[in-house]
Amino acid sequence: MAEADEIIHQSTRLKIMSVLNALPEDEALEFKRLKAISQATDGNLGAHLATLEKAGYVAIEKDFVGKKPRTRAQITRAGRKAYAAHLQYLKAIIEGGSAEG
Amino acid sequence: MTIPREDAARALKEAEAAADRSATAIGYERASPHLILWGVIWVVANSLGVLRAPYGGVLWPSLIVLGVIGSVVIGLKTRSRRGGRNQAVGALTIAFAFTLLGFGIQALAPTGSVVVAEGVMTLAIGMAYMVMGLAIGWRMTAIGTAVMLITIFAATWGREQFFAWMALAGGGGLILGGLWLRKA
Repeated sequence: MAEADEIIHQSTRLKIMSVLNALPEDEALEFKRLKAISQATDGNLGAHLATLEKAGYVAIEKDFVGKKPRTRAQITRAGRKAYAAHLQYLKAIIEGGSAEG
Repeated sequence: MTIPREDAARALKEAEAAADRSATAIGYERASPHLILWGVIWVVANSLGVLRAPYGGVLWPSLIVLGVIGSVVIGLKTRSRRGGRNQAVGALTIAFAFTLLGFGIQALAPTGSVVVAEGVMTLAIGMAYMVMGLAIGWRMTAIGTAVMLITIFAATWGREQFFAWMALAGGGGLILGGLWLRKA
């Protein structure tokens, strides 16, 4: 049985990972759009993204469009793998009762 | 870390809902520039219809060729390596097929009425957008419904000003619809 991923399992981070995982490969999402789709707030989105980035699950790009700063997030290959494994773990629990990871 | 079954089910449900919202937003983002482009074409064609331009017979086919080229360029620019929910582009291709179908109807229209032919064509496109909404999201269905209602209204009660209605409400509606999708 796969193991629980404590980093991904937190509710807001799970939503962030779900949103980013649904993006086509090599595609990043702007902070503002990510906030709206994941239904997160400004402050906690930044903190959770930092946690995911530290774990190597998400890559953050900061650049400028004209004079306007832009922050974009993209799921990494390791992130996709960890997300898939965590979802597999959740499905296994539902099918077989609670489990320890 | 122990996760009870109820928590796992809730987490999985939340994850699926977030993934669905993401896929829908991508579909809207892909569809948006196509709608704006076709809205502009609608406005131009019908505005010239209002002015009764003498080159009316070649106007629509020429604009459609421009529209298809524009859509292909937009599609290539937004194309992703993996495809993702790129059905929007594929589905919009169906709309262009409907447009061509509409021209077939126009060519075959026994009455030769441009209002009837354009009305039929626009209803077909509205229907195509409604069907696309099933794959992309409800906003697309709402835009298709609006296009159809505007056409029925213009053909029934606004026949005298049909082209003006189609330019402002039809074309303008598509442009606003495209902007609405972008904001989703």
